[in-house]
Amino acid sequence: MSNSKLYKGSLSTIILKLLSKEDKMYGYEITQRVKELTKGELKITEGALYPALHKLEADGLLEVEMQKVDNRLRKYYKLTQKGTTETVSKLEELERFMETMNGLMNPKPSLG
Amino acid sequence: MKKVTSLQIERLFQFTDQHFVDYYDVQLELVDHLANAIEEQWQENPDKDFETALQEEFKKFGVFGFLEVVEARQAAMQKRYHQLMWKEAKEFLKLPKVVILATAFLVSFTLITQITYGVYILIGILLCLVILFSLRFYKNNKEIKRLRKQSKQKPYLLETLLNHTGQFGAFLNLPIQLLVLITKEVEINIWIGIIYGLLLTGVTLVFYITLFLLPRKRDEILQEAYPELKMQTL
Repeated sequence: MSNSKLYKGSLSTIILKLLSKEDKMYGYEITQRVKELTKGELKITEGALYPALHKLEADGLLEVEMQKVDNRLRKYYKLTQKGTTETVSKLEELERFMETMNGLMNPKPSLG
Repeated sequence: MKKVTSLQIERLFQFTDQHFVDYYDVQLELVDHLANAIEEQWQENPDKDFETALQEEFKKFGVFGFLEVVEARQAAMQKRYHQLMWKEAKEFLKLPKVVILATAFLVSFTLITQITYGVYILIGILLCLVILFSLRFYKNNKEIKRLRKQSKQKPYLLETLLNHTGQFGAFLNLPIQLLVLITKEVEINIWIGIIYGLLLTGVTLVFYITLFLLPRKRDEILQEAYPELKMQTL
């Protein structure tokens, strides 16, 4: 994935977060949405996205739905009940991580 | 907006085929992805040649091409297969099926620990079972080949796992090997009886599930995993 390895560990969280805002999304749509939201700063590579989606599906966090679009079948992913719960805890985990990193990068000057 | 034609969709299936994507479910997803990406390129440059756009998109998958996607899908489906196996196995830990397991264990245990030449009787019984399982394996394979000849498309990944017992077929002669070992090198006592009893019962159960129970539920399992199959039967 991406232009930075730093994002790699957060790919599942990014996918879950995007899906929590939409009813369902397909693979290509996810890559485009991330590109759009980050103004091109973060590009999810195809070789990272699909393995992550398949893993989340195998873990029961995502379910799939097929739809015929134009002349082909499209696979949509949506959150399961378990996936919705997991999204909340993953986001909390990410927030804690960001706070910790922030504390490390910008330590508050201590008094005395 | 310029769209990918049906003929070009066929070319995309062929392209994934040429790049070692042997499963229809993986092909479906990749074909849609490539088609979307090519159409996106055409938005900016409608005159761009289809093949050039395709090669550009393929490069984005990295040096390993579609391999990472295929491997991840295999891992995910193996997990699903093991979950299906476990679901069936759990039924054997409940009444009434647990009686069958308990009987199989007691027979193995008694033959190993209590009866002179019991191990050889057990080898005979297991040999019959292995022959039965092998015949079933052969029959399943024949049926798969027949179905494959009828179909133009690649098989689904989970279908392949169901057809090939999720790789467990390679261990078909394991029960016999275990028992041959006991006749040569192991001193028989109660613990050996318990361990062998559990092991043989477990291995036999695995073969029964993978060779008989799961293939019987094939259509139901595949429709659950691949919603498009339900669409086709509607």
